[in-house]
Amino acid sequence: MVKIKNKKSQVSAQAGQAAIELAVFGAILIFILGTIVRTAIGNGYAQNDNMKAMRMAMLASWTDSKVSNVLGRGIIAHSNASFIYVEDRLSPDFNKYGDLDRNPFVAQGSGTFSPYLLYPLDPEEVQQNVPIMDVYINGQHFPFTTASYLSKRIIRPACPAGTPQALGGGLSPGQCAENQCLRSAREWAGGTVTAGDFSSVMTGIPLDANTETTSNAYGVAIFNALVAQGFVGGATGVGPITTGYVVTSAYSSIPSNFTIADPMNSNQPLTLTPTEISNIQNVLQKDSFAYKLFYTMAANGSSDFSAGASDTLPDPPFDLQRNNDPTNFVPAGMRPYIAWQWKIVPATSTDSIKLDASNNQYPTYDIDGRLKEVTVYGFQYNSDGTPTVTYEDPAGGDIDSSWDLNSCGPKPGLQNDSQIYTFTKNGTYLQIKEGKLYNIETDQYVRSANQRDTIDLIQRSVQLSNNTGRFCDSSGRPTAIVEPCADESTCEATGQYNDGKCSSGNGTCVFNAVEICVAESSPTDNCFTSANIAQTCYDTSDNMLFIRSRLEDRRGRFWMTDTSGQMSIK
Amino acid sequence: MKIKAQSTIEFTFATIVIMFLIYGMVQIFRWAGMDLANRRVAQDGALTAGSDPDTQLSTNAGDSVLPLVAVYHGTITNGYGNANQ
Repeated sequence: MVKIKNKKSQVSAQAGQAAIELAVFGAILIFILGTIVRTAIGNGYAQNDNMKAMRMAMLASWTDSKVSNVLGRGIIAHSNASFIYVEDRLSPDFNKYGDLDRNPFVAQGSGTFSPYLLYPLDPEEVQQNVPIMDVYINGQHFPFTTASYLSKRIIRPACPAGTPQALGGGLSPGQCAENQCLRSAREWAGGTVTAGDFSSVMTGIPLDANTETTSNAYGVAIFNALVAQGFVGGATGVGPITTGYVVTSAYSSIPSNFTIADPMNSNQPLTLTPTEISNIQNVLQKDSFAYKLFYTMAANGSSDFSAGASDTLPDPPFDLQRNNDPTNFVPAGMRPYIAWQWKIVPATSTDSIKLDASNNQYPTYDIDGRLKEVTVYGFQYNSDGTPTVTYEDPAGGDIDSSWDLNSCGPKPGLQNDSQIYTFTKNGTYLQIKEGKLYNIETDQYVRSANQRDTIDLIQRSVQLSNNTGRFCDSSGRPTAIVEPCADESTCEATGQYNDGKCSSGNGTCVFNAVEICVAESSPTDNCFTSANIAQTCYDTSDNMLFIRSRLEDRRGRFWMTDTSGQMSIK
Repeated sequence: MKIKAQSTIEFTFATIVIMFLIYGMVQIFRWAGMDLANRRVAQDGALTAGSDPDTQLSTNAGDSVLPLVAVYHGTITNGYGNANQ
């Protein structure tokens, strides 16, 4: 009996083994099938977005080239177009309510399809041709400019006295802005100076053996050198200048091996011994015009102002942060390997800054102490000694394309955090009906109904660098973005301003996906109040753009048994 | 004999089911690859056909994915917000 029991037990175990194996391996296979399906669909989404981004970038480049600008030429805002697509797609899943999870797909495409690749802009065209980066987030179109075109009168900045702090990303935005102000104020030159200012302060300075002149003559020579180089202006052609006004300056990066001649000996580059530098520093007060001018002259091109003897002495060209902190200077041993250095340029005329519009020569300068160079398209020297500069600023667009750790604002662009909310009440729902529901009219049994009608609200935030007024006007309302378009193109179908069509001929598209503007964020008025939480909102107080995508998902299945062929009781 | 027969039957059933699963897997592998390839071929074909860039670049050839172009403009009435436009 015992044997039989054991045998039956063995029989039972063996009989179930195949079923268990089938269940286990079948489950594994089905899991693998599901994974393949999900991965394949995800790859399809990604590939589709990548190809679409490339096509749209090339199409934008091509379309812009056919639109006439103010001079009857093509637009180059999208010549090197860049499109970014962000789409939150449903991921295949087996749930009671169907697919619920959304996966973000991000694709970036660039394309160039324009005959205006090397087209030199004229000043009147620049405003219409600032580069644009297009971002599409769940179908909402945000054309962000990556530069701005401005005209600004450069004046001596008003900021408290002090020395600019070292940069490097450790400064708060307020400290950083003050840093720039201090740098600009410190480098701003203006006022009247005489040759006597220099000759007097040079008195007593021991000169080296090569300079066979008096210290007084040496100071006059420095003054004359400043006049010759344009840092001191005044009456010309009427004999030696003995007094003049100090001109405003701009900074430009130049090759590091640039040198200037010694004002006392044009056959030699300007090199001063550490003793000479030290004596000059002791005599010249740092805030005096004379010191600034001397500093300026040295910054004009001395490749090694301290003659390499000591790194603790000022060496303006290698003061790359321009805060006069010797600890931040490029070490002497590294200077031969540095590709550039700052050079100060007198800003008194178009000639002095090498601006030549007739030959499309538009120089780049740092004009306001930000350590960022801009392209100068226009220059006017005012009677009060201040220049008005018209320039294209790569840091002035919606997105600062030149942002680095030395920039004062936060890092611009799409932020890492995103949030998703699903609205399912009062008009939107997730619903399941199961069981029998006999319809006497149709003789049908409804077995299962699965319906959903939901709104997925997905929030993303984009940090902008500047409020350019393209999305919100000064009165706190969304601005109608107007962009030129070719007559055969179709406008984007997003935004409350959108008309969906390009007007005939070389017309315009009018759109703006921003729905709410908040000027001063407060507890009662911000992008998160009950009235604003679901809408795309731009907070101009910190230039944060909250993009709220509202994706409607209305799907379902309805399965029933057909009983029309069966007997029924009427 | 009874034991062997039962195992044989179970093995037969299991083999049939497994064969279906393997066939399905092969088909899905094929679909996964062909979906990518077809989309690529369709786009390349559209981009190289004809000579009008507007037509070439505006094509949705191979675009088998539903576009996400709509922002819901109705009213969200659950008390958390109002998206009425």
